[in-house]
Amino acid sequence: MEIDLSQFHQVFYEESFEGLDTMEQELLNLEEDSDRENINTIFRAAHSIKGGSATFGFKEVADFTHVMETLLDEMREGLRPVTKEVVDLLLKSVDCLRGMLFRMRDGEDVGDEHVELINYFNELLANEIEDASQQENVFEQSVQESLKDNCEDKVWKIEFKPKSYILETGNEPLRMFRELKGFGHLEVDAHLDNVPCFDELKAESCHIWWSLTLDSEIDEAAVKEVFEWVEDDCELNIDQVPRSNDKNVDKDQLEQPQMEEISEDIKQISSETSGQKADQEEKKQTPLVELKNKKEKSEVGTNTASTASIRVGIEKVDTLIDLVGELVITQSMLSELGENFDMSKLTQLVSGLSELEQNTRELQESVMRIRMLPIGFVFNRLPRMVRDLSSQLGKKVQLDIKGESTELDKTVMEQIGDPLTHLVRNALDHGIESAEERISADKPEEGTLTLNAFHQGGNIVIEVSDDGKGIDPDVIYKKAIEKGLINDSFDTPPEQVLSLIMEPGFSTAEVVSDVSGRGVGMDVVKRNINNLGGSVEIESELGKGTTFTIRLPLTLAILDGQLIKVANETYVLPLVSIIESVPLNMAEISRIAGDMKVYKLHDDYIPIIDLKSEFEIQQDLSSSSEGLLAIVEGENRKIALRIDELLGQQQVVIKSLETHYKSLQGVSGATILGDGRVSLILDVVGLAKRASEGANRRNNKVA
Amino acid sequence: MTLKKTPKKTTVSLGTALDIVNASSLKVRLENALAKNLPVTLVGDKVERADTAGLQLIYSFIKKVEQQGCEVTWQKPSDNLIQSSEVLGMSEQLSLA
Repeated sequence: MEIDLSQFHQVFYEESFEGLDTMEQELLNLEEDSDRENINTIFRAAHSIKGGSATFGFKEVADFTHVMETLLDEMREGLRPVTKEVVDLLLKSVDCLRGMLFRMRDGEDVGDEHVELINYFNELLANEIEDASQQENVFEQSVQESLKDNCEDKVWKIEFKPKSYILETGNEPLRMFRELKGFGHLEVDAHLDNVPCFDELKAESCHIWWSLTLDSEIDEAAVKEVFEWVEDDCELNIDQVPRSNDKNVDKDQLEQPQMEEISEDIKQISSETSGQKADQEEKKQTPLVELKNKKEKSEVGTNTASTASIRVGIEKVDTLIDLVGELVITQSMLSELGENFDMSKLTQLVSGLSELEQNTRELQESVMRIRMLPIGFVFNRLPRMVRDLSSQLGKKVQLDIKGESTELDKTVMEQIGDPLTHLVRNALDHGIESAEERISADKPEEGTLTLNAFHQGGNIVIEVSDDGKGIDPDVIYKKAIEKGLINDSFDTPPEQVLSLIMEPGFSTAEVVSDVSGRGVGMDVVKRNINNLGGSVEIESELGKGTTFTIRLPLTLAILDGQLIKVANETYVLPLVSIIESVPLNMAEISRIAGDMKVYKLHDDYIPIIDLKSEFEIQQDLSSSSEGLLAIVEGENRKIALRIDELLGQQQVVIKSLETHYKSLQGVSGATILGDGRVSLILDVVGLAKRASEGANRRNNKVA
Repeated sequence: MTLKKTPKKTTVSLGTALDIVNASSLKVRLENALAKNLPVTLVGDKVERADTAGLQLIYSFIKKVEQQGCEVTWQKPSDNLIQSSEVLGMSEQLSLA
C-alpha cells in the first residue's frame, strides 16, 4: 500500500521550525556557556530535520543538515572547539534552513542560498585533513573518471558493516536490502563469523556484516540514500566494479581491482570527512536532483492549500471533553424536563438553563484556550536579534525575559511579533547607550533590556523596557511643534508628549537622529497594535530608561461587550474601554469653539460624540433628560458618547466588517446578538479620531 | 501391547514474529530447549515477520545445538521466514535454502 506522504508535510514543517528555534536558542546559549548537552540538543534537532527531510525526499535540506550534523558531531566529540566563527556559521545555517523550509512550504523554489554554506562547511570540515587527503582526492578523481568510462558493464559492490547497536536504533538491514532489491538483482552474502556463541549473544545486538552485489544502473547517490539513516552507525563501502571482474580477467585488467581497492580506501576517508566529494557527487547527480525537484514541487504545490495548525496540550483537550460531557448531561436533563413540563417544574427549568449557560461559557472559554500559546514563541526569536544587533552596534546588552509562559491567542501572537521586534530593535539602537557613555553616566557597562509579559484583566500586557538614556520630552515637544503636530498654545501633558513619537508625521529619520532616537517606524508599531485592538503607552525617565507597555486583548475572536442603545439601534462597546456612565441631566456640558460639546470630568474636558449624527440615525434620541453619557477611553484619549440606555453585558463573537463589507473608522466589527440582529462593535479610538477630525473641520469653518 | 518408541526430540515454536521485539523471550525458550540436550525442531509455520535479530539468534542457536552433537530441523518454515533469510543472505547458513 502506498502512503501519501504529503499529508505529513505540514507536521514536518512545524516540527522543523520548532527544531530550528531550539537550535537557535541553544546556539546562543552555547556561546555563553559551552556545554556538551547544548551541543547534543542542537545535534538532535538537526538530526530530526535531516531524517524528516530525507523521508519526504527534500534532498537539499537533507544534504545541508547532513554537513551541519557532521560539524556538530565533531563538536560533540570534542574534536572541534566551539568558536564564534562556528556558532556564527551554524546560526547562519539555521536562518538559511528556515528560509528553505518556508519556500518549500509555499511551493517555491528552494533557492541556492545553502550551496555556498555547504561549500563553507565542507571547507571547514576538510581543513584539518586537507593536506593528507589532497593528493588522494586528485587520485580518486582520476580513478573515478577511468571507472566512469565503462560504467554500463558494472555492478555495485557494497560492504555494509553495521555497528552492533544498529538494530536497537530501529534500523533494520532487511528493510535496506529489500529497498536495494527494488533497484535490480541483488546478491547478499552474510558474514556470520563474528556472531558470538549462543550463551554470550545479546539478542538485540548485530554481529553480522554483509557483502552485497547490486546489478543496477542507479547512481551512487541512490545507493547511498538507502543507507542514509545509518551512515553514522556503520562502515559502508560502495563501489562499482566490472561485472566480468570476478575470475576471468585478462592481463590488462589486472590493475583494476587494485585501483578499486585504493579508491575504496579513499572513499572511506572522504566519506568520513564529507570533503570536496560532496561537490563532485552533486555535479554527477544533477539530472536526478532536477527530476526530484520537479516531483517535490508538484507535491508541495498541492500542499499549499493546507491550513495552519497548532499543537494543543492533551490536558486542554481533556477539559474540553469533560465540558462537552457536562453539556450533554444538561441538555438531556432539559429535554426530559421539556417533555413533561408543567409550571411546578419552572424552578428546575430556570436552574437547568442557568447551568446550560454556565456550561456554554466554560466551553467557549476552553475552546478559546486551545488557541492560546505561550508568548515565549515570540520572545524566543529576540535573543538572537539582540545578540546580532548588539555586536553589530558594539554595545553590551543583557536581555532579560520574564513571563514567557503567559498565553495569548495565536492570531494575536502572529501579529505582535513584528511590532515587538521593532521596539526591541529601537531600544537597542537608540535607547541603550554605548559602553563608554554608560560608564561616564555612572551606569553599569552592560545595558539591560527587559521583556515582560503578564495577564491583567482581560488583557495581556507586554513590557519592553531598557535602562538606557530615556527620551527627553522637551526635545519631542519642540520637534512636534516644528512638525506641526501640536500647537504651541496647547498645554500638552508629558505622557501625551511622549506618545507623539508614535504619530505618523513624527517618524522621519532626521527627527530620530536629533531626538534620542525613538521614532523609526513607531507609527507602524502603534498602528499594528491598534489594529489588534490593543494600545501602547510610553514611560520614560531621562537618563534612567524607557518602558513601552503594550496592552492587547487575549483574543481577537471574542469580546466582553456592553450593549448600548442609541435611538432604535443597539451597539456594542468593548467593556474594557468604559470608564463610567453619567445621566445627561447631571452632566456638566459646555460648548467650545466650533460648536463642540464637551463634558467636564474631574479637571478634564472630554469631547462628546453624538452617535446619532455620527451614524446618521434617522430616529430621534430620547429626551436629553433621560439619556446617558458613556465615558470611554482608548489610547489615553477619553470621549463621551451620548447614548439612550445601557443594556446588558455579554460576550460577543467578533465578525470582521472588512471581510464582509469594508473597513469603517469608528467601527471595529460586527456581531450577531441573541435575537439574531446584527450589531456594530464600536471602536473607541476610531471614534475619538473622527471626533477630532470633525472638530478640526468645524474649527476651520469657524476660522 | 508394545509401545513404539519415537526418537526423542524437542520442539520450539517460533510464533508469528521472529524479531527483535521477541528475541529476548525467544532466547529464554531456546535456552530451555538447549538444556534438554536433544535434537531440536523449529516450528516456523506461523512466522509472519522475521528480522536480523531473530535470524541471528536462530543461527547462533543452531551452531550451539550442533556443537552439542545434536541436529536442528525445520518444520514448515513459512514463506515469510524463508524470504527474509534469503534477503539477508542467511538462508544457507540457516538451512532454509
